[in-house]
Amino acid sequence: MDAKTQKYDRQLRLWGSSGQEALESAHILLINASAVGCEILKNLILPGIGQFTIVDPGTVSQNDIGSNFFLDFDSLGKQRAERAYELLGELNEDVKGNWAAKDIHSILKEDPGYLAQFSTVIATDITRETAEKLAALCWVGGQDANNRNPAGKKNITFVWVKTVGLFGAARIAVPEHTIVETHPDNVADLRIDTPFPELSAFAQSFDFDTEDSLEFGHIPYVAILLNYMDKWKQTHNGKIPSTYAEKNELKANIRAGMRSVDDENFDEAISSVLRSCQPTTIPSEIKALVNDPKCEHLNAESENFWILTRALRDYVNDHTKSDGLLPLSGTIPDMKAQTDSYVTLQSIYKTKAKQDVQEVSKVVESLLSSLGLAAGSISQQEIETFCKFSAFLKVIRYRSLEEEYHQPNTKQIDPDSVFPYYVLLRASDSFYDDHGRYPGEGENWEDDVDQLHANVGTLLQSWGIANDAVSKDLTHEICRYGNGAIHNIASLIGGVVSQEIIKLSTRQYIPMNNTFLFDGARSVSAVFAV
Amino acid sequence: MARETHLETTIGTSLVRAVADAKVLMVGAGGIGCELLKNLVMSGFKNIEVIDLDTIDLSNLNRQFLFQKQHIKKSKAHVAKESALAFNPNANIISRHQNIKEQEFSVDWFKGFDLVMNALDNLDARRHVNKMCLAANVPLIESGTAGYLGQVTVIQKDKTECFDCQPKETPKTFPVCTIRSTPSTPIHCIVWAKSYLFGLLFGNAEDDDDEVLVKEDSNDDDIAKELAALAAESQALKEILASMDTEGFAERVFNKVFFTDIHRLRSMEDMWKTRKPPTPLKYDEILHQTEDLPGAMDATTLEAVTLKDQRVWTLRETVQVFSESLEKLSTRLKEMRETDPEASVQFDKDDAETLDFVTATANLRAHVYGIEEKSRFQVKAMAGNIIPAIATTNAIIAGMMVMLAFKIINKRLADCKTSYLVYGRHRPQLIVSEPLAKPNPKCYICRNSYLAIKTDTKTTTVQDLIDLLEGYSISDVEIQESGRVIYDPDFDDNASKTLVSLQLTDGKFVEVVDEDDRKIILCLKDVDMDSLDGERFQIEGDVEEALEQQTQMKQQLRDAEAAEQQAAHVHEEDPDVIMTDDNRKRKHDEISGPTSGTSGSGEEAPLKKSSLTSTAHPPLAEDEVGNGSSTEQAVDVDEVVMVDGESFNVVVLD
Repeated sequence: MDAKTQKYDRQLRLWGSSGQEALESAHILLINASAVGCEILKNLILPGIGQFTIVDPGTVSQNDIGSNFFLDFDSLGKQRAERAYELLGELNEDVKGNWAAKDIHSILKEDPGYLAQFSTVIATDITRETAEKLAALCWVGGQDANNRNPAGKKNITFVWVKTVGLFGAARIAVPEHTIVETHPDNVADLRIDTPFPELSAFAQSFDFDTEDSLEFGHIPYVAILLNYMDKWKQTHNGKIPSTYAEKNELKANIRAGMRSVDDENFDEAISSVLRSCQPTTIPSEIKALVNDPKCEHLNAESENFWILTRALRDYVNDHTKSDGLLPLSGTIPDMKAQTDSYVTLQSIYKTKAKQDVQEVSKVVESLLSSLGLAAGSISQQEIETFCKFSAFLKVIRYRSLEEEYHQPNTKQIDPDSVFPYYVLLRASDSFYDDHGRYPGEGENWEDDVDQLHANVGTLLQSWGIANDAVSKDLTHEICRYGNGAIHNIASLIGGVVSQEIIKLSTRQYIPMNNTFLFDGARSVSAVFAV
Repeated sequence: MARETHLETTIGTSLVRAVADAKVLMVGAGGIGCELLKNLVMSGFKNIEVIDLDTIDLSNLNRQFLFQKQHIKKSKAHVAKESALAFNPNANIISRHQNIKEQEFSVDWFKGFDLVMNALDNLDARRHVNKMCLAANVPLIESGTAGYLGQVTVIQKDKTECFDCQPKETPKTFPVCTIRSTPSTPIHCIVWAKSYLFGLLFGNAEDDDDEVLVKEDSNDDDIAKELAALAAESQALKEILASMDTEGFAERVFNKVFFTDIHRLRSMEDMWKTRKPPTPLKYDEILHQTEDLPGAMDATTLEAVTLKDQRVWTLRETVQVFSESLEKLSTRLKEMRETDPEASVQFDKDDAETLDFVTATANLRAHVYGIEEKSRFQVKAMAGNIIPAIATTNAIIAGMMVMLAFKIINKRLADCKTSYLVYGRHRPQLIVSEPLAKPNPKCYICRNSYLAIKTDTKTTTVQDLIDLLEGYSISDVEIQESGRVIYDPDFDDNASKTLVSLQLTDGKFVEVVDEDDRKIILCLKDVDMDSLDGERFQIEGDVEEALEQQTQMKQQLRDAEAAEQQAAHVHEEDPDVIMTDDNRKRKHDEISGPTSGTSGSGEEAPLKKSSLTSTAHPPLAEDEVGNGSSTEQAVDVDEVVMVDGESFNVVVLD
């Protein structure tokens, strides 16, 4: 076991070597080495992203030292970008770091395609105007609109993070994020309602009349279910139980077959009746996915995900190969059984899963060749993983910042919990537009309360929402904070944001969509797609 | 400075002052601990004591950012302190490389803190700190993480649920015969390798059979005979041990456990009537085979596909790893025994040689029994109770802990909540919070009243104590300590003995239960007779009040039981209500089985299964239709990996 595997052991158990590889290919840009920005980078450098770059024109102030763990007393007056780069870089020698003591606008003036090299852009301490500009650039793959190179276009994840007093917020925007390994709790797909021939034969190989109580007590519950389901079908025109009463009847039939209370295998069968009576179908989310226009209009630049999804569609539509069902996952749960019958059952499911993968592979190969792509350019391993999790695929299409500002989805936000914070943060941006500073940043913070509350009113009015949706107490509170950041909130929000960036970078687990809001004073938080 | 700092404008100057004055104890300087210490120091906490008995390991460095490579093998507590001070020299941090369970950390010592924060990784220490904080009446912030999941809560005597208010899952155990004679799953083979064979070869002669092996009911003659035969087998292996570190040792051990012993087992025909009999293996036959055995693919092509760590070894490779690791461990043991004849090598999941040995022997046994073999990566998780751990989750949880600390120091316990980090396909939230739960009236830990009592344990007798209690009309008492009976009305043998002769010494918790079932815990403080002003005892706290509290608690318990009976009655009419083990009707959102969690060599594992994570997929209504496989998630929530270390013997990773 090499040192790297050992160092990363505890996280490899979460996202495996494929996730680690994806993480190591990430290049992350942090705009402004704020407290929250440095906390995010800390949590990304530790598990070993490939590279990070810090862009920040500022120098280290007393307030920075008070809230940012990675800027120490010796840093006072020095370049923030450089000091943060140095101190964060010490966390992991395997991660490459870069820095630039410049303003992002001047960098982009010199090099309009600057952002294209990054997989994720994290922006902190920026104005709404800058956020909109950066988000728009990331949305089109970091290329400048005037000299865009369509072939080089790729997704860049844009993340905008704010901390104000005890509030924190994060917004993620990326046109499309596809996930195969969503890590569902359970991928077992037993097909009790529609057993394939090898499975039926397995179930029939058990002698339910055996004299041997040990043997009887070790008939795998899958075989028990199949057996009783088969009997049921014979007396019900080939249909499986559909009503609650019918399912209970099937349970009672199985219970009647028990010889002793020790027959745990029968208990396992009974407790699986309800889920086994759910007809095996294609989940509606997956049906929608295979009908997505991206599947229809494949081209040589299409992501593997869409080529695979198209292959899945063609496979499912070919009933002679698939019976109209998704490829079998091939995994079975633990159960009471003799080792050899368990192994046999396992191999029956695995063999069928392999056959399904082979059929899908054939479709993939023919799609690749029709697209003019090299045979084998989607690996067998990738096809296998895709088939195994085909019932749990996920595509997230985030709303852009532009959409949020022009067609706000305010109804998505729970009015009782975090809606007021969302309004206040938006109103603070309007306040900045008017005054060139954030509420509470002036000499006397109380002077800003009325003005900010007026901004709140204007926003609410434009959305057609009653003016009392935000209490003046909260307006007071945010003015009192004076746009100040404290370390603990930076650390907490930094943890949340880096966690979502890991989910996005590893392409595993489902990341949040699209805004996270938190208030430490009231322990309130929510995620919503605005 | 003219202007207030950001901290002052945010939380207020008076709270900033209170925070600076507060004395906090941090138990644990691991994953959560590193984040927590940083946050405390950066939030203006000035008096922090941090204790951890552990040393730094390479596998900590992906998240325990106060540690670096050059710190490996050093004390976590000391290094954490030094690293944190480098960034903020103003704080006063005391670090202790010690076990929190040591006697010097008495109830009085705990009373010296305004707040205790647990950043622990095991049930045993959590339970201990819970009890000490209850006895000292100090608020405790408890925390835990596992992968992307986590939890944080507050425990305050008589106000909230305590750590032991909800039952915790006990470590999984296996019958001896399953492990020694008739394994049927990979974990049986791993337990055999780790807890039986490893201990026998490299452990002390004294610490025999491991606690995970439970002796079966030996009324059965066959089982009794088999147990006797197994004992003889172990004895024979011990004799081979005499030749440790000599030529051919590996082969002798191998042939003993994988040939001779298996051969004997195989001859017991009754055992294999319904099972596939095991197939003995011979050392030289495998090593001298020119071709590798079936099932094993060409090692070089395999290497290209996956790391050696993450694929199953071929049989010949396994035997090679077996003999190499056995040789290295024997040499290590021999060197250790030169200075300490009692020395032993312990299994440690992060010790490559011990893990190699356990992987190889578990897989050889699996091969013998036709059980699926596992990669070293998988064996590590199963044998080491590994819980995935990352910086992000720890950062979130530590951040929540300090938010709670602000509230507790601000005397706003009512504003504190229990928070969970959650994950699930149909669950958009990341953090879910709920009000702190009330104490469980049945809790046998926090429903006691604690009183500190000073006496000279060298001269005070049990009878003296009984007389003292009689004085408060506490009569017909039963006295216990750590589960052993010291005295009851039918057992007065100890009455005239001194406390010290019964190991009732400084720091011990003496449980007193009277005829009305009122229970008082006396925390013993050993002092010199002279300091007691002629009295035999001095009690800190109000005995009458404690008794009154106990009477009230008993009433609450009776009320709760009455309410339960009512609920049980409802249950009879409604078969769909899910009942838990203790027959307590659970809230709807807690539907998923027992709270899990015990102690862990795993990382910062959480205290109990979140009621919320467990409904990651809300229970489906009877006729709600979904895809066959996805609906299974709705039911199989017990598999959620939200567990706490050692109880979790198997972490099956796909």
